[in-house]
Amino acid sequence: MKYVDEFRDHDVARSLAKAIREEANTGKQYRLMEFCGGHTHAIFRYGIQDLMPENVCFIHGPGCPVCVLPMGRIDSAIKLVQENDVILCTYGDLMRVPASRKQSLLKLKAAGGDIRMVYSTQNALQIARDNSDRQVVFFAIGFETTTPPTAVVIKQAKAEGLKNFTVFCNHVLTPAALKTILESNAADINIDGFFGPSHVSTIIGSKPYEYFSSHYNKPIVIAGFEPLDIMQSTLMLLRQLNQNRSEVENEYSRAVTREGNLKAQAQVDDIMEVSSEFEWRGLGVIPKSALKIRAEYSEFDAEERFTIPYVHANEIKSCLCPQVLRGQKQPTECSLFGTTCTPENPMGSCMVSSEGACAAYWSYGRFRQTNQQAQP
Amino acid sequence: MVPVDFFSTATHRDATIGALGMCLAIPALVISVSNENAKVSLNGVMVDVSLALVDDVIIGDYVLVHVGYALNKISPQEAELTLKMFAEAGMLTSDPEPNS
Repeated sequence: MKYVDEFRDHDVARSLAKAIREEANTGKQYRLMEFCGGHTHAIFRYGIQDLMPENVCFIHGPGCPVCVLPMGRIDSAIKLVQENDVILCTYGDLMRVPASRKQSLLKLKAAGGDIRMVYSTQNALQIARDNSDRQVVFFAIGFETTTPPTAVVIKQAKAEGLKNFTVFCNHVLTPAALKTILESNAADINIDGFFGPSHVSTIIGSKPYEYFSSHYNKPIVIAGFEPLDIMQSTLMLLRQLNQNRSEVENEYSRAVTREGNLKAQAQVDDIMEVSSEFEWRGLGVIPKSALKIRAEYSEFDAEERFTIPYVHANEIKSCLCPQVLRGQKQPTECSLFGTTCTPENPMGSCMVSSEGACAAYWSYGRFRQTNQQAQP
Repeated sequence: MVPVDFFSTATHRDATIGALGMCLAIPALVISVSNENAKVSLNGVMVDVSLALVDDVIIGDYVLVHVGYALNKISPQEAELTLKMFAEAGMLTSDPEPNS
């Protein structure tokens, strides 16, 4: 497949690995955070960590939208279905995320709740058109990549005069989370450089990262999702660190420009505005870190049409998802990992989402561990 | 080629949703364009996507597809430059990696 195969080439990967080893041969430690869950997944799937020298370490960040959604928001969605008899449309990843009292959307669906899994926001809109006698709520989550499709359907719903379609908006902002990580860059995390997300950046561009690289003196390289993209970006980060530079560099230039997708940005801006604060799982309440639907479109805001009280829900005590999301702990340090918490029976969100760090460790990392143990 | 309509709400698509992930987008070749929609080929699988977020998409372009929308066009020139950058990085090393 074009734009995929050539970015997974075996021989090029080997020569890049060699270049990385030579660049890293300084005796220094390099702790690099991949912000986005897509990178975490690729690093494990393609065994990139195994190609790195020991002093280059990948720290997994909070860039998995399913993982950072606090449990209380899922509780709210569950209540919405139970108390208002709505049709709740949601992306598949959210279905199995554990909520309070051992609930989940999947269990609620099994118990008779009308919950529909959709691939696209267009599906949700179609369900609203087909069920004019029912209220249809789209449970919207995601970073900047997933926000524009939500904005598009709200606009469409208004144009069509739909009276039974609303959005429960939980869209969050990457720069706000990056800022929180940088501000709390405690000694136990100590990140030297960042991989900028691929597809978030196709929308917002590379410009929003410039403040972070200059203000916090951390290099940021926007990296594509293919294995060679990540390896090349690692090399670029090491070079910046060795040369004491902290700039924004764009490795994923085939899809990311400095300005980003202005058309998508304008559509989001038209429908949504920054909300005063939002609670993130693992990161706590972050001011100005999420989007809400503008007052002009309030008839499509589920939080305006229905009463959706938000109650903070406590995490399962021994679940280390919050620490994993902050980059403080590796999934294998969690006592639940692989014992009571597996993708089939997840306890925490990082095991549910295909992009979660725990799911990546479970799917691919176990073989690494076995290999390491086998070698004396 | 198997025609797939991502706008339909059939539940057999559930497997695809999990495989795509929340922030993953895949390169797809544009086969035909009509108004706000395009038919694209995802490695041979035909899919309808919305063009509401991108301008000036023409047949033969590659677009990144995410949750049924084309997010952006892929620049062939920039892709070429990136591949060249990989090759150059590899050439700087003293000798090729031994097979292991």
